[in-house]
Amino acid sequence: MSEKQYARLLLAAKAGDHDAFASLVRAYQDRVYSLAYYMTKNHHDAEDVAQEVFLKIWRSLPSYRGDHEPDTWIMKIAKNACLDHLKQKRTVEPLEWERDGEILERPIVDEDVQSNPSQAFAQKEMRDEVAKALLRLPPEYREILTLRYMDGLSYEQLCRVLEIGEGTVKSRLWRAKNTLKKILENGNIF
Amino acid sequence: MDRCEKIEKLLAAYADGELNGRQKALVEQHVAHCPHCKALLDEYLALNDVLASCAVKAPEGFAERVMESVQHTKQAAPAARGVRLGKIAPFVGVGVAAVLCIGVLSSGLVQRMGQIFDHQENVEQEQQTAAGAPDPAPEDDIVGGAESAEMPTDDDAATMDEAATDMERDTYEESCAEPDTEAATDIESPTYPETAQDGMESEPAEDATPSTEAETAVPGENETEEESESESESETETDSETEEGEENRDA
Repeated sequence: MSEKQYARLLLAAKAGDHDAFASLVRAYQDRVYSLAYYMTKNHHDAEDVAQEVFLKIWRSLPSYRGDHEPDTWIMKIAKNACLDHLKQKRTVEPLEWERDGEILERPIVDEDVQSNPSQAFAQKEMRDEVAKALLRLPPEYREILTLRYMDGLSYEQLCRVLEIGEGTVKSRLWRAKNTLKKILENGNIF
Repeated sequence: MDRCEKIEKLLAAYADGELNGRQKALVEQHVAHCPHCKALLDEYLALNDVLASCAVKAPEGFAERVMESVQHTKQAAPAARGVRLGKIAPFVGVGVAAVLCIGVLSSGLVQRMGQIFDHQENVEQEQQTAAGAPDPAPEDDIVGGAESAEMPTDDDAATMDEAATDMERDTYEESCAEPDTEAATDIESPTYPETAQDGMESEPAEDATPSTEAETAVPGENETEEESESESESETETDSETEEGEENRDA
């Protein structure tokens, strides 16, 4: 779906169309949840925060005038909700690698890989290591890496969501990735 | 700073496809002849792919739970352009309450003052009657009493109403001083809390006093947990632009 189509859904939801809003939730739920998970570092809080994001979007719809890009409008609300949560909950959270006692299975995007189990296993191993390393980064590094590589925001969109300049986006991404690489190198992944 | 160090800073953005034509050409030209930078670029590209695969799906039934909550949630009233109703409503309420209180107090005060002077007049009359003195002119006493007590007049009440309106206008104008053009999001950019649990501290805020950025040295192992706190973001943007200028000159 294009940005224009998402904008139309937002305007329809603003007019009271619950089905349009439900479509919007389904379209953005994974992106919002990913950000919430990597910012809160546990699934329980991630679900609460992600739900809160969509409730905030719903409550704010009367103020949406169609002149904001849906991606940046929605992800900015998500970013602020995550930061509000971090501010409220300053306790040390254990890092969560599992959910409900089982290793969290992430979807394998490349179907060809499934035909090669050993390659799929190696990829899964690497993915888990990278995810663990990501969770060890400071919040602003986790935030920008999630928004860029999992939520697919461009540098220009990152500028608007994070309210920083393009030079700062570039340098923050550079530092975030180098820090991530160092953690992975210590674990001999990279 | 040698050429590789300059190019290294562009490699991550190149891997993201976010360099302009000139910078892209610079990088491609360099990595064609530099195995070190080529290997680094390959690492960034691989890391990009793995990061993308780290996206987490929302749990089963998430959208349904959201819609259940939405059913019980009302949408907020649309905010007036530049002003949040929530901001001025309390002040308007205070202003109205103030006007009402002044009105009530004024009428109660007039009544009470009347009672006091009636009583005073009666006492004086009794005293003078007892002393045999002629009764004083009642009007003179009332006038004298009114002047000395400074009873509120209709003009005074009007002045008080005007003061209340002024106060209401002042507070309204004050609340208008910070228009909220994005009702959906927080106005202030939130600052990051301390992250002691990571063993790493967060970077300083964007508006921190710029300090010399130490990006030339390759950070050691200990800096993994500490480097982010020593670098200033605001300095970085200037540095990048300076670097771009250097690149152009070198080319």
